[in-house]
Amino acid sequence: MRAKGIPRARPGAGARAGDGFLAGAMMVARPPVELALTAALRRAARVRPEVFDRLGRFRDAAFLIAPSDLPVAFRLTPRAAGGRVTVVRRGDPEPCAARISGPLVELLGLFDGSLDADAAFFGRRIDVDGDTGAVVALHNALEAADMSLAELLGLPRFGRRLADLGLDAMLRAARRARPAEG
Amino acid sequence: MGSIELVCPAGSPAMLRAAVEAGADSVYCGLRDETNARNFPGLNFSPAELTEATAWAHGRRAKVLVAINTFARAGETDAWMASVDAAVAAGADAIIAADLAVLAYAHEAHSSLRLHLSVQAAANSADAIAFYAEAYGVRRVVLPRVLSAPEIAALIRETSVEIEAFVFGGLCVMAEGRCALSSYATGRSPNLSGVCSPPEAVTFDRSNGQLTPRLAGLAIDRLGDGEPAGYPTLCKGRFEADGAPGYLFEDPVSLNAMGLLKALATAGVRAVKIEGRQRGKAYVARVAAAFRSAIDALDRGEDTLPYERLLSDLAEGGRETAGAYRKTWR
Amino acid sequence: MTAPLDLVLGPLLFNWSPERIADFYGRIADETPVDRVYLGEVVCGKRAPLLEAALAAAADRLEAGGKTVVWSAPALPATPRERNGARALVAAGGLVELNDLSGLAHLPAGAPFVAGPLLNIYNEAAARELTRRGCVRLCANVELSLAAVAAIARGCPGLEVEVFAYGRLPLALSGRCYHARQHDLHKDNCRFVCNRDPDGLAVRTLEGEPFLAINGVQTLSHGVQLADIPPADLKAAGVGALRLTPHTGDMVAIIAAFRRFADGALDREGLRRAVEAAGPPGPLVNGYLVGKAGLAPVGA
Repeated sequence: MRAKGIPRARPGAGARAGDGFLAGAMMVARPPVELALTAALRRAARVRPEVFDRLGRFRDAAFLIAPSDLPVAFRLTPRAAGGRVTVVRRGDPEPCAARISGPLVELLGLFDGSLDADAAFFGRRIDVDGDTGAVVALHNALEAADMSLAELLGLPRFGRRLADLGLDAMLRAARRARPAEG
Repeated sequence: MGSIELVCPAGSPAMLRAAVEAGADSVYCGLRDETNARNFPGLNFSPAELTEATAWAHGRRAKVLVAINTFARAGETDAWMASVDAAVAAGADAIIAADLAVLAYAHEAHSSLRLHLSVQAAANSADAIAFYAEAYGVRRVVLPRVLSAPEIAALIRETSVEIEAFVFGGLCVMAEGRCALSSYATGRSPNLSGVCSPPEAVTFDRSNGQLTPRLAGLAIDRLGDGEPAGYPTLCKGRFEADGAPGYLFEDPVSLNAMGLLKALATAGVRAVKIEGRQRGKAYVARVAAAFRSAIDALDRGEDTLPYERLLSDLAEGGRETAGAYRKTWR
Repeated sequence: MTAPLDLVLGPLLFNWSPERIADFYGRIADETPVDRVYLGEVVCGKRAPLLEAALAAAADRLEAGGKTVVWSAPALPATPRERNGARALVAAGGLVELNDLSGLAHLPAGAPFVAGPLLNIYNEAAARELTRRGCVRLCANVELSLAAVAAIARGCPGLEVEVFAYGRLPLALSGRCYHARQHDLHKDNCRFVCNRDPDGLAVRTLEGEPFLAINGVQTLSHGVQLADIPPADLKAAGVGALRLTPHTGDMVAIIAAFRRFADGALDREGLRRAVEAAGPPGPLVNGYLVGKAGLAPVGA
């Protein structure tokens, strides 16, 4: 059996000029974001416990959701009532069960059910590292709950505002136009 | 010739609703345990969910077929019999089974329950079908994906049992239920544990711009930047024989036999089946809608051609094949 | 519990020449303590006509040598020719080994038969379905652990049980011929290229690790199963016979080593050393029997 957990990010992976500054700014702004996301996650655990049941043995796993176009990543530990979301730097050395990375638009589509996860993977638009079983469980649990990651994290208003501005349609168009990428 | 029945996958109640709303005549699903052949983490139905979803489907005049299609573990067969009882209690229209133990129990304990023979039983001839029909009253057989369309037509002429054929989705290269490649590498397989290439054994290595999918540590492919990936199953892996690397068993492609719908219907195939309980709502909604349109067109005497390219982007490796239905595949 | 374990030779899975077949079974008949020999083309219906005469002659040699011969039926009969062959074999009378349940459609009610390892019998209830139809002996499916075999044997008193004890593991069957595909040939015009690989064609990972072997429509393991389970444990699990599969290498020596092992005259280490010296086509594995991945090496 291979060791679980993810090696730290490779040097220079995804680094771009200006990332350092942006990452610094985002890290400074993180406490209120983390509080809000964690509170939303725990609220979801109370309202929709079946989502967490479906995760089975991966309830306590740590998931790193890493948009490749952001200098930070989100670290999610479902664990029902004791769940937590933290904002970390891309190269965060803490071990996690699995890391899901890809462009933000792909990740949003993946978790709101509008994008077929396997198709995204076959097309190499998203990458999965670590325990693939954990990622499969998270995806299936959200799928089955008719719940998006945005909802799990209490962000429906954010989505609605995008829709109001017509940005939602733009995101979808951008996703369709995107060629397969690594 | 009546309309061909469209049978779609449901990995969750939400996916079941999506399939029916998109035009499925029947959905197939499994309980959340080792008794069904898509035993992936987070997938499938609790008995309560199954009961509720079945009632919902019946309200929409859709049928629910419950897959109890793995082979019961020696010394622990009770769990499989309990799944049969749970399916009956939930009001399922049929169960889909492969194990003689499950078929025998269902036939004896629930004599009015409709039995479908799972593809995992790999009944590929009228002789095999005759045995299952005579011994267990099997009413429908899901054919293994090893027969060509003319062979299916010939087979149907020899049997009175209903025939269901896969038309879309992941393609088993081996005769279903007769493959132990996964357990040889990982210890778990469809027959032993309801999973092929179990996700916990899958890892992806990235180095030098290449992606190496591994199963239990064994390199099963190597992909350049942006090169399409397949499911990390051994039969779609790239290996080397006689010094030449290649996809020895099958390219990473998936089945799309929409172009053969008419031939299959003419041959007397009663139902067509979509693979992919693990693939979610977005997938099933699109595939069910496309096949619904194609079948409706067929019923009106029209061509299915306008619908054939609708689903290419869902395919594994971005490519599709008509598989064994065209004899050149062999 | 004191009856000795039988040694049986499973059907030849590979496309050997008639000369090689004659030599091989001649030596088995004259020089080995094997009790039963299964004969018949299990893998590919196209090969059957080529081998028929050689196998019939081998049967005569073996019976003259005091061996019991059991005919093995094909694993995935699909074409009319394959189905007719299977039907004729079952109808001919005498004990047959079924490797596909379609054979039960032809077997006279209650006629005795052997259930081969390619059938999907994974539990005692399924095995009972076969015993009530005449099954007298079962070679356990290769995926089963010895614990699972024991549960089946316990649940089916009177059923003789064999385990797959030596040879590349038969892992999968397909409608597609991989030998033909490898040589850019169509299955219908395959030129019998599988005859070049008497133990199957080695399949390696892209990192050069030997992993599988292809044999026409069949896929086998690269590793060679060695059931080096102490005979007392085998007997306690209800196992009555060890099944060895024909391969190149010194099968006479391998059979002799297994006989001594089954009789307690050779320990596990001795069995491994003797088999390794006889030229098995791959490293020795036994993972399935101990409930692990099939490729787990012996002694791990």
